Amino acid sequence: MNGNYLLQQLINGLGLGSVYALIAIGYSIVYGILRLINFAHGDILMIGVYAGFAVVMVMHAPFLLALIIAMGVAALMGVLLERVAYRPLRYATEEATMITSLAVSIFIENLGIMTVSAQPKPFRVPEYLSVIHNWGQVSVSNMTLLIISLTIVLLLVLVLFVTRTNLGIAMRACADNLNAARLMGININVVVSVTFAIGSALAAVGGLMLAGQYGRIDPLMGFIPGLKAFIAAVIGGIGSIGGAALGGFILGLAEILLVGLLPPAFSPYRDAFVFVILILVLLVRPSGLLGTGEGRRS
Amino acid sequence: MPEAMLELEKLNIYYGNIHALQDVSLTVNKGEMVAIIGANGAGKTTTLAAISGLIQSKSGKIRFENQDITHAPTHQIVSSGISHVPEGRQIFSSLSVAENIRLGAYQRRDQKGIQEDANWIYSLFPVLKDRRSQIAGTLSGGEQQMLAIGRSVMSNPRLLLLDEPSMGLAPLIVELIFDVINQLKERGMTILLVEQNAYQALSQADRAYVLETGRIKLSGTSSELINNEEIQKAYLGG
Repeated sequence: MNGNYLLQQLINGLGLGSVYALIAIGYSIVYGILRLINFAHGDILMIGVYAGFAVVMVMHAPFLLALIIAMGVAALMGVLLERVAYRPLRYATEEATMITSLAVSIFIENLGIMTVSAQPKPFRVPEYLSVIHNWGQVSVSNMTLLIISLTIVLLLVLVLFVTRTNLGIAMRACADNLNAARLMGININVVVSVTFAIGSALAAVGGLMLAGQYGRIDPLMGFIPGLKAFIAAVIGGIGSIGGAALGGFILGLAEILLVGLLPPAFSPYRDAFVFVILILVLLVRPSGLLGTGEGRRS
Repeated sequence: MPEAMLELEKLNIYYGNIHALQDVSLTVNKGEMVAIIGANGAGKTTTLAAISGLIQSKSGKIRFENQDITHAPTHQIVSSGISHVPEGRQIFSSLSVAENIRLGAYQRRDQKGIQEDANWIYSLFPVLKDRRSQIAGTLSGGEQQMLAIGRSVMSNPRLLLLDEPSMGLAPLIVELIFDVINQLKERGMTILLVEQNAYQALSQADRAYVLETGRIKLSGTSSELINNEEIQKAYLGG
């Protein structure tokens, strides 16, 4: 093993971590306001990716347009999902909404299998994204560079949004104290819709990056990344935006480094590492790395 | 003839099987400071929560400036001109003081007016100005109450609902808070005040209602109530 190898793994880990971070934010901001764990989040991602896929493959549109379409469709689906499935349960128990989100997840996945078939479809990214740079013994594709830089840009935009705009500050206020936010004249339903839109759009970006990386998509593609991003959100402290990003990067790096540094015999246990990391973090910090340790909303 | 600003008419509220408010009727006239006094659990906080739409009533009517707001959502009630300083302050503790103040003006778009009002709040409570960029959760109890009032006033309300503004505060701070409340009244704000500290409430308000286990038991001018033997025995430690 040498320094180049480690650097290579770090870059790969940052790429995967970016994807987890983008997806994890949706879990975290929704949970922050509604105390709802939206297990259908990964499936919204899948819908967004298929929309992006459609414009690229069918209309031969540029990748950037696919990205925008995927974000837009996912945002709309997220808003619709909340309106139809979760809003009627706004005052139900956390258990009821969690089970509902699982049901919605299974529903969307099966709807996907019925409409576009379970058969994976090849997803090709444009030539310029497949270009691989060789810097010494480290090789990095444009796709990886795009993932990392796009994630950083989107995170910065999100931070500006929640600290500089009225709507963004209102979002944080809702997560802090929903009743007090109502008393400020904030229309909670608008904020919740915006939250779902943002979380879903970011997840769609993550999904499209995964699709570009693996070169294929299928109706169940959101499940495992969704689950891992949820774990990332919990590791970082669910409810916290910074925590979700941090958890995503930690998880991505840890996953890649463990696979890369341990003997190859351990590779099949890649997903198990994720849970081991989760357990270790929660043993030390039960409310996550940046979690506030607030109890459940009564 | 005083002009009624807020009218509650036979309001009934239930928490599950508990009949929390029973046929509560009360009136607040324009420019008045009216207090609701009563023991813990009498329904004082519930009354204010019903007015600002946080709790839905089973029957009865709430009218504000002759508009029926009984079933209006809270954000519409705020835009109609009512602002509510909730029990226990409920500031946004993870946000900065300035962000709390900014959110008070959430529905306003007149940047100049917002800035003027923020400066006015900071002149009423200079300590808030010094701590503008501090996280609100790190403020002392008294400072949090000042912030809760300041934030609430930023919506430029015509009616201010105050829930236990003196709770848990040192006498000196209570004096300061009530001094500001009186300034708000002089500025033309109508005030509905809920207090467990009956003496404090009656010494400030023009009129008061006595709430007992969800019913209005008595009402009158503060001086009438302060001299009422029953009130003295039950609420003023006389």
